[in-house]
Amino acid sequence: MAGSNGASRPLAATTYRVEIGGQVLTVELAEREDGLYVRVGDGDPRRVEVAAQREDGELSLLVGGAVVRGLVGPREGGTAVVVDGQAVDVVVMDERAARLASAAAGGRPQNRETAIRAPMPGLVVTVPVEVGQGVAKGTTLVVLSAMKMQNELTAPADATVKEVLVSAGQTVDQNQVLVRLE
Amino acid sequence: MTPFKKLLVANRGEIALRVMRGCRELGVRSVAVYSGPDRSAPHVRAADEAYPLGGTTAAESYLRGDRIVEIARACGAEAIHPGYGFLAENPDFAQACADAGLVFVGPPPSAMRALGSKTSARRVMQEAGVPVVPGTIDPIPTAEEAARIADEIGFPIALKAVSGGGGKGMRVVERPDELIAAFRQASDEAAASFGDPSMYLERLVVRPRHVEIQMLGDQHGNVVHLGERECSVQRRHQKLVEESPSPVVDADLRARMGEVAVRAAKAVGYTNAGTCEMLLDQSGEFYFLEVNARLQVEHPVTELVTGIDLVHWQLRVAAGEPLDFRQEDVRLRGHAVECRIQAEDPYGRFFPSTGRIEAVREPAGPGIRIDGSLERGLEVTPLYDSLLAKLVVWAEDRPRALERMARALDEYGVLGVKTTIPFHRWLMRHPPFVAGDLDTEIVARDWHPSDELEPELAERAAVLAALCEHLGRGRRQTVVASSAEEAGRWLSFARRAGLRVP
Repeated sequence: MAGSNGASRPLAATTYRVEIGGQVLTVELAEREDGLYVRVGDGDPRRVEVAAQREDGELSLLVGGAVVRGLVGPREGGTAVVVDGQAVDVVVMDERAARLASAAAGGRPQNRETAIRAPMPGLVVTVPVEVGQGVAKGTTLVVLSAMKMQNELTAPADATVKEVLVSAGQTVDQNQVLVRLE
Repeated sequence: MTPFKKLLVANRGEIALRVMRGCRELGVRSVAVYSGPDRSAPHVRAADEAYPLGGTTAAESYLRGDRIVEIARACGAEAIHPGYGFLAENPDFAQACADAGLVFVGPPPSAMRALGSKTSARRVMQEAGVPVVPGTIDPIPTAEEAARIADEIGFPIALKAVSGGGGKGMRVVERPDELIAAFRQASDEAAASFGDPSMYLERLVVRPRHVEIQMLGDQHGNVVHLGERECSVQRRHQKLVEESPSPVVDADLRARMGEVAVRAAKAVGYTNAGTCEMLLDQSGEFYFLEVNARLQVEHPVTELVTGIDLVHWQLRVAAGEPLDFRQEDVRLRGHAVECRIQAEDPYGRFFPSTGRIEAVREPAGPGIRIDGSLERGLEVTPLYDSLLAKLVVWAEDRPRALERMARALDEYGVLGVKTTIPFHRWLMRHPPFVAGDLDTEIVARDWHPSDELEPELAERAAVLAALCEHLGRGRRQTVVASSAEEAGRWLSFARRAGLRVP
């Protein structure tokens, strides 16, 4: 019932490259005589209808008869989607934009430096790392006191501490760079 | 009967709304106060009257007891409800209210003072025959003296910094021969961190559960307890999930813990609502921890299983009314669970998340209660607490309550900040939690989320995001397409409207 594979020839098709939670999925949307079809990766194309796209952010689809319901909204540098109470950050690009982006990235050397920024204003409690130190993913770099709590900022990946820009007792603003890793 | 004509709520967020709802039900006019950034906040619009406190930070606004008393007097309020946090457990504020002829909805300042410091509370409780964790009250002068006391009370023990707190400056000692070195080290650390080297020690309660008893007292000497709340699911000593009854407290243990809590309340002349926090060890022994002299965040679970409205009773006893029921009238029915929906990233060590709420969809249906102030457009700032809402469910028994909570969490959608909802979804199906096998380390020990999404969920999210992009981002229109034809027509409309569709 989802299928009718090749029942009608696509009139137009667009393939999107969707980055989601560290994985990349391709989502192909094809318009045929009898409506819109969606295909994820190598899966079967399924009929998709918009059940509702509401002002409050809800997007509900009927995908081969199954209800797919979520909240969709913009976020810095992409899209945020909430499904089953779970918020997921997503970056969607159509094929052409994805090709352009990868060509641009290939054209210059990769910048491997990562800045650890304060996600909110707060007080630096401790900085338990020093310049030149190798840190494993998850190592605490800075302990920041904000919103009545001590919050640990950790290394997003294995790296080396390149610069430490703050010290204990210092008040920092939102987005201020605290530590640089490479 | 209306306890007061007008009452000022000295708080914000969900607890201000909770108190104002109670006021309206009792025919009491409510007065909101607000900081600069809260001018349009939900609690301002829910009140009958609202007055500015000025300022931005808590210290400049909701902690300004002098301004609050002044506003209450100027607008003719008879009473002040402090909510929780801010001025709720400040005896000087309670005294200032009394001095200004205002009723403070809470215990008398003398009871707050007696309970205020851990050392004085411990002394009072020991004298009243309330069980406390074996250990010292006063600072221990030397490592040798510590070794002698430790031998008396038995190992393992916890060495604690007098000026520490919340687990900071604490060290566990398993064996007698480790004690002297550990004491010196911990004392040096305490001097460095808190500027105070003094230490005390207690027997370590291994794998404790945090179980607390709700108390309610009137001004005529009656104090009852309303059963327990299990609050062992915590991160960094802050509660995430609470339930009542506790899966391990039976009628006999409940009666014994309740009797102790009532004795503790009577020892300090406690009135109004309060909570006696206790540690329950794996063998069923329990120890007094502290009294929270206020309405707790997690009070709804008690309301749902007892059928007693705590805010109503807070106002009624504050106005001098006696309790109209006795201990034997209090019955627990069914099971209630509360999940705190915090603006925090559970995948990033519960780091606070700030931003603008872009969209909200809240659960509803059988057995659901939401105490919250979440709405689209709300700015979640680092200025105040990160609690967005409390999702509370009731069902006939614990397994059904957990299933209902899982269902409600699936319905919950918050866009704009990270929330603890994914953590709660995991917890409701985490086997030790489902089995009721809890202790205060359960989150630290068992929650190791991977970045990997469930493939099926990732696929649904990807399809939604791609469709949204496809239909044209930023467009806001309600479309209900009941058929392919209609969807097709809609797509051609979108194309004509210049939106990016193939």
